[in-house]
Order: sequence, then structure tokens, then C-alpha cells
Amino acid sequence: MLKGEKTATLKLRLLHTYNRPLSFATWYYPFFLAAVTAGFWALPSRLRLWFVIGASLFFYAFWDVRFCALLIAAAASDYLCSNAYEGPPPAWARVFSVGMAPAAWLALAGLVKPVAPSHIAFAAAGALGFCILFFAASRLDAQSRRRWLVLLGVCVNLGILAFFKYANWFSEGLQDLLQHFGASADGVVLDILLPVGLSFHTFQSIAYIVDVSQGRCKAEPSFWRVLCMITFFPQLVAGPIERAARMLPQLRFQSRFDWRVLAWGLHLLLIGYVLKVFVADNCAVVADYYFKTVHEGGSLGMGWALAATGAYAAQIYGDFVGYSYIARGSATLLGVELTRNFELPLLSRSPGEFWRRWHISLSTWIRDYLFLPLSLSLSYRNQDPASGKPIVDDRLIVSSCLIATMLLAGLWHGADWHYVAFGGFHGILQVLWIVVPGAALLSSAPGVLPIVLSRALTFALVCIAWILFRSESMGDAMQVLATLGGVSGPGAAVPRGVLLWLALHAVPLLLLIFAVRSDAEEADIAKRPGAVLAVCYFLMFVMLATSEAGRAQFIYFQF
Amino acid sequence: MDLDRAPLAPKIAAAAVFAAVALVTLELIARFGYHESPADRNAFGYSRDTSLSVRDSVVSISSAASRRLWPQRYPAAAPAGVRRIAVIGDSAARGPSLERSVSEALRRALRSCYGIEAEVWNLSSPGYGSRRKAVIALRALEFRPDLIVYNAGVSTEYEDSREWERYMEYHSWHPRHWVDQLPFLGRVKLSKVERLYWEWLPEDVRNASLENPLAARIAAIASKSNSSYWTPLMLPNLDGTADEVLRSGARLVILVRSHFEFGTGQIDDSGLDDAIERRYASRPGIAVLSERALLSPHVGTTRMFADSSHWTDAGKDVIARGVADTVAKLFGVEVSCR
Repeated sequence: MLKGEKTATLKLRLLHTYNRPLSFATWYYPFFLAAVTAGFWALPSRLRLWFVIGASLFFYAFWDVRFCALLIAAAASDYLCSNAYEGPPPAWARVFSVGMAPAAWLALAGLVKPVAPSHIAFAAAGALGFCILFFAASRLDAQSRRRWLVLLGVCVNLGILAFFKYANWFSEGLQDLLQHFGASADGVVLDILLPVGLSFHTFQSIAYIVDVSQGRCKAEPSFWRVLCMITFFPQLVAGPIERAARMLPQLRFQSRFDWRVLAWGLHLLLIGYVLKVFVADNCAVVADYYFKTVHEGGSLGMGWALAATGAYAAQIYGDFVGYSYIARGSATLLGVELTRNFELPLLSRSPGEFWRRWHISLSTWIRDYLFLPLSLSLSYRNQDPASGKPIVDDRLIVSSCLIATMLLAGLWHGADWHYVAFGGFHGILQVLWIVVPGAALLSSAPGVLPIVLSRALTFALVCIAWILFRSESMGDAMQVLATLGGVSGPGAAVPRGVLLWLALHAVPLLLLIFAVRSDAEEADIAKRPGAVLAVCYFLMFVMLATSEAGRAQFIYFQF
Repeated sequence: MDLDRAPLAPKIAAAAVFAAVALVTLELIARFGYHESPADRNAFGYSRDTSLSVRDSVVSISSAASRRLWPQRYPAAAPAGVRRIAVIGDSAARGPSLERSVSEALRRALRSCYGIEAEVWNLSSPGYGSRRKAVIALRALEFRPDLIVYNAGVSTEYEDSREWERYMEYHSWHPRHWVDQLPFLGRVKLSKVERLYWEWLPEDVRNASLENPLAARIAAIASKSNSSYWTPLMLPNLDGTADEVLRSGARLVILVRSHFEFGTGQIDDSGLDDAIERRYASRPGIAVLSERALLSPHVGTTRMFADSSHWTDAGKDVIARGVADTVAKLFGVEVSCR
């Protein structure tokens, strides 16, 4: 009896293990990474590219092997459009073989997972359509050809993003509209699964095409290297959003094994896992409870709202910063240096500075590919031809562009109004710091008091934005904010144990930030004396080992 | 790597080695410094040998490794003329102390009513259901008891299943539990879970973040007291225990648990007593006693329950008297209770 039950339980556990994606938060990722690292350095450099592509597709296929076709589609489009932009278009056979590769992958994926024939036909039609448009654009004169190829490359990526990420949202809106007018809404709602990390790799693809068109980098002549850049597993699912000029040269994998690379990579990995497993996942216990209760209609009072907001601040910080360290550590083990995505954002003294320190690869992407083109274009048109003076105040142009780009940044996070509100709120904050003289003055004034005050104010405002971000809906967010504002009364007291739990898991993060406050990031703890570092390692390892690993998925994987 | 970080690598390596040496040293100290092995600590009550040890022909019963037994000592072989009885159950049978437990009441009742001298081992531990009772019964049979009193119910089956899942996880190949099996880090982790997670966080807060599919499965399929779910799971374990007891030559008294509704003043066992009675009625050497039947006549006049499932001292005396009557019959003692 007991033996049979043991077998059944083990079967269930195995099933559970292999139905989970190969994310950084799983217990088997370190084994995967160790195997890939060992294989990578054991191989001659000419084979490493294919090895990394294989490992990356394997990594992504753990989520869903079918969605690898999207990565291949993005890489194919980037490769063909960028090369045709710079020189003569590739031969038609090459265009068709690369262009039809996503459909071929999807058909092969049907051997592993069910794929509807209509989906394969749809993918093949899409790929064929792309090839035809590509040939049509290639036959135009040089200037038109370049303009249409860039447009085609960007549209393919935006099309994928729009279809998989926003089609559900728009169809639900359309359904509401139709029902409002009494029309039948049957068949309007789509049920499209969002591929993990879609927003990240499409932004990276768009940046590559635009960079080639603006001469910031050369078109890569190897399709495989472009594919490797798009699929590179350490940064595939949640960034950092890398620039091709920085990534492509590193993907030649010419470097020789250096034990110092290994040491630094492991250092980054340890810090990343401590932030994720110890700080984020344990603080999530409190934040999840509160926001889930609010979503289910419960009310817990101001104390709980404050505790949960603090818990979520620690959670999202540990989660995303931790993820970025793990991504950088993983890439470092393969001799690739990824962008530093965070620079102690909790020490920011203004909302603008916060975005220069938080999710840097996204904020610089938005700055370079949205804000600057938009604001420069509008500023150019803002000149009075006769006098050469601005028609309207330049600050109005900048503020409008800031709010517009931050609204889009909010929408990038997800197709929901509370994400739009999150972006809009940050946009308004940045505008306030431009138009309100006192705010900018406080953020730049020297002295301990202004520094502490401006950091506290920025943190409080960022926390309000995180409430908008974390809530399940705008209604939930408004309720939490109303509770924090004292509208719903004091409510139930927060148990002392909950506060102790939060302190236990958030204070080490604060201590770490305090210890490296004069440096760039948490990993700079390595600059402290050896004895301090050894004690830190010891404590970090104990914190990591005594926490329940893999309790929760990374927050940013959903984007 | 970040080129300006390259000179830090030797320091990183040295600090990592130092930290690793410190951890290994602590592991070794914990390995040789603690008497209780982490494997026993994480046995969740499923370790057969824990809590009962024999030294110098004396059996020592102690509280260890999730088995919270009252400390007791008995000769390895029962003295001539003394019957050996083991009471196996959960917190109700364990009692608030050894002196105030049903096993002690039974010993007194056997002596005063029937003149039977008996050593009555209290082998009951809180939260124990049919699986863990089966494990402890097997161990008890090694000491050749004349009779086992088995307190059967479903209210602890939920806890039993949860602990079984934990036991299975801990003893699986899964790397997630490698840390748990280490003497130092395993203890620190367990302490964190037991002293901080379970004690600091309220149950509803813990449940909101539960991702463990096994725990969720158990929580989803049945409530703690859903007898229609738990009874079919409990009975095969009871069958196994009964077979082992009879095979060893001992006799078995199954005392069927019930629960008390303070609102209605009713004692109920959801038909469990009838189900067990039907199952074992024809088997020689086994007697079935219904707690509901024993206590119901007294409920109107005396308080029998301290809460919904634990007896008062008066309730314990009634139970002990009823069990003593049955035990006497099984032992073939014809004298009626004085």
C-alpha cells in the first residue's frame, strides 16, 4: 500500500517538474547552466555559436516549443531586412529558405506538441507574404527600398507584438462595445496565449533594424548570429534589451576561458539568487496575500496597505534586479557581458533619476527610439519660420512627449489600464519635476537632509506607481490608494509576525544597498575587504539555502 | 566580464573559499555534535525506530522526530503475570499528561474492575492518522504486546496525508531537498520554517502564496473532517495494521473516534463505527468499540468532551471502563466489574 502510494507521489512530482518552464527560478536551471557552460568552453570557438543557439532554443522550448517559431520569424525578418538595407538583397533561394523557416519550425513542432493545421497554414501564408513584400521592396530604387525595408522589418516585429500581446485586449474592448450597442459579440473574443518574454525580444529586434538604418551598427551577414542574438537564453525572457552593436561582436565567441570570468559570473549569480529567492519570494508572501484579498473584495485597512506596499517594493526590486543579476551571471559564464540594467534605483532623488537607474535598457530604448525622435521632430516643427523662435514653450513639447512615451511604456508592460496608469503616473511625475522649480531644487540640493528627503519622496511616489502596477485592475488600485489615504478607516491591525517576517527579508536588502551606496550596484560588494566579502558570502549562502526555491515565477516574464 | 571587475576575481575566489570552509566546518560540527540525525528529524513520524529504544533490557519511550510520545520506561520483556497493552492513537488518546491519559485510566480500570495487572503503553501522538499509527504499531509489536488498543478516526487523516507528502518529498531524489538533508543548513532551514514561517505568518497569509501542488491538491479535494473522503483511505491502513497485530498473536481493540457538537449536544461519527463494526465483526481476536455508543448515555448528565474531539477526565474514565470490559472479555476474564 505504502509502496504504491510512494510511486504515485513520485509520478506526480515528476509530472509537475517537467510541466514547468526552464526558468532561472527552477531548481534545474543551475544544472542546465552548468552543462551549457561546460559544453561551451569545451567546444572549439567555431562550434560555440550553434551550441548556444541550440541551448537557447531548448531553453525557450521548455515553455512552448511552438513559440520558438516567433523567435525565428523575428530573426529572419531582421536578417533579411538589415542586409538588404545595406547592400544587394540576398538570392531568392536564401530569402525563401530563411523566410519560410518559422513555418517549417512550427510544422516540426507538431511532432512534439499539438499544432493545428490552420496555424501552420497561417504561419506559412504570413511567411510567404513577408517574402513577397520583401521582394517587392527590394526592387524599388535605393532610397525607397531602404525606407520600405525598415518599415517592413519594424512592422513584422510590431505585428507579432500587437497580435500576441494586445489582440485579446482589443477584442475584449470590441466585445464590450458591441454588447453595449446590443449587437452580437460571438466570435469576437480571441484566446491568444502570450509567449513569454515577447516584449523584450521584439524591442531588441526593432532596435537592431533601426540601428542599422541609422548607421549605429553594421548589418550582420550571418543569419545564425542574428538568430543567436535574438534567442540568447540569458536575456531572452526578460531582458536586458541589448543593442546589436554591443551584442553581435560578443557572439563571435572568440574569447578564451578565464577563471576570473567564472568567478565574476558566479558572484553575480549568487547575488541574483539571494535577491530573488530570499528577498522577493519571501516578501511576496505578504504582498500576494494583500493584493489577492483586495481583488476578492476584502478590505484590510491602512496598516496592511502600507505593509503590503513595502512588501511589494521589496519583492519587485528583488525579483527584477535579482533576475538581471542571474541573466548577467549566466551570460558572463559564456563570456558575454550584458548591459547593467539597474544602478541602485532606490537611491534615486527624482522620478527622472529613478528611470535612469531602473530597467535602464528599457528606459534608454524608450528614450532613443520613442522620446528623442518624437520630441526632436516636434521641436523642429515648433520653430516659427519667420522669427526662428519657438511657437510654444519647449517645455510643453518635452512634457507632452514625456507623458506620451511613458504611457506607451506603461502599455508595453501589459494590455491593461492599470499598466497605462502606471506609465502615465510616472510621466506626470517627471513633468512635475520639470515644471515645479522646488522639486528639481530639492533633488539637486546638497546636504544630508535634502538627500534623505528627496530619496524618501521619490521612493514614496514610486511605491504609489507600483501599486498601480501590481493591482489586478484599476478598481483594485484605487481601493488600495484610498485605503492608504485613510478613506476606508484603520481596519485590521497587521500581525506583529507579518512585520517581523517582512523585516527579516527586506532589511538585508537595505543593508546591502547601504553598503554599496557609493558604488554602482549591489555586486560592488566585491570591492569591500575580503573578510567582509567572506562573511557576506556565508550569510548569503545561508539565506539562499534556507529559503524555499522556485516558489514564484519572475514578475517580468509575463511581459 | 566587466573589465574593471577583473582584479576583484582573486578576492571573490578567496572569500568564497573561506565561506565554503566555514559552512563545511559547521556541517561537520552539526554532523557529529547532534545526537538526532536530520533524517530522523525529517521523518515526520514515519520513522519506525524513532522514540522507542532498548538499552539494558529496558524500553525507553521518548518524544523525538515529530513523534510526541510521553516519556515512559518498561522492561523489555513483560514481567510474569503482567499483561502488556499498547494504546495507539492521536492527541485524544495521548492526553494532557501521562497520568491523565486514557491509557493510565485503562490500567487503573483493569486492575480495579478485573484484577488484571497490566502495563499500558501510551503510544499516541498528536495528529497521527492511520499511516503513522501503522508504523508505530509495527514497532510496538516487536515488544510482544498482548493487546493493542487502536483509536480509529478520520479527523487526523488530513494531517497524516500532509506529513506523508512531506516525508515522500524529503526522501525523494529531488535536488530541492539536498539542503534539507544537510546537518547544519537543514536544521537552520527547518527552524526557519517551523519557528518563523509557521509561527509568524497567519494561516490565511501562508495559504495565499501556496504553490505546492501537492498541498493544494490535498486542500482542494477534502476538508479535514470530510469522512466520506477520508474513510476509504483510512480503512485499508487499518486493515494492514489489524493483519499485522493478529499475525503477531496479539489481540486488537478498535475504539472508533467520534466528535461532539457543542451546539446540538450530539456525538457523531458519520457512521464510522458501523462501517468498522461490519468490517471486523467476523474476525476473531478483534473487538470494535464505539466511542459514540460509550459516551452518548452520559452526555446529558456529565461533561464528556473538553472540545469537539478531546475527552474530559470523566469522559476518559467512561472510555477506559468500556475498553477494560472489552479487554477483559478478550483475555477471557469472566469476573464482572466490581
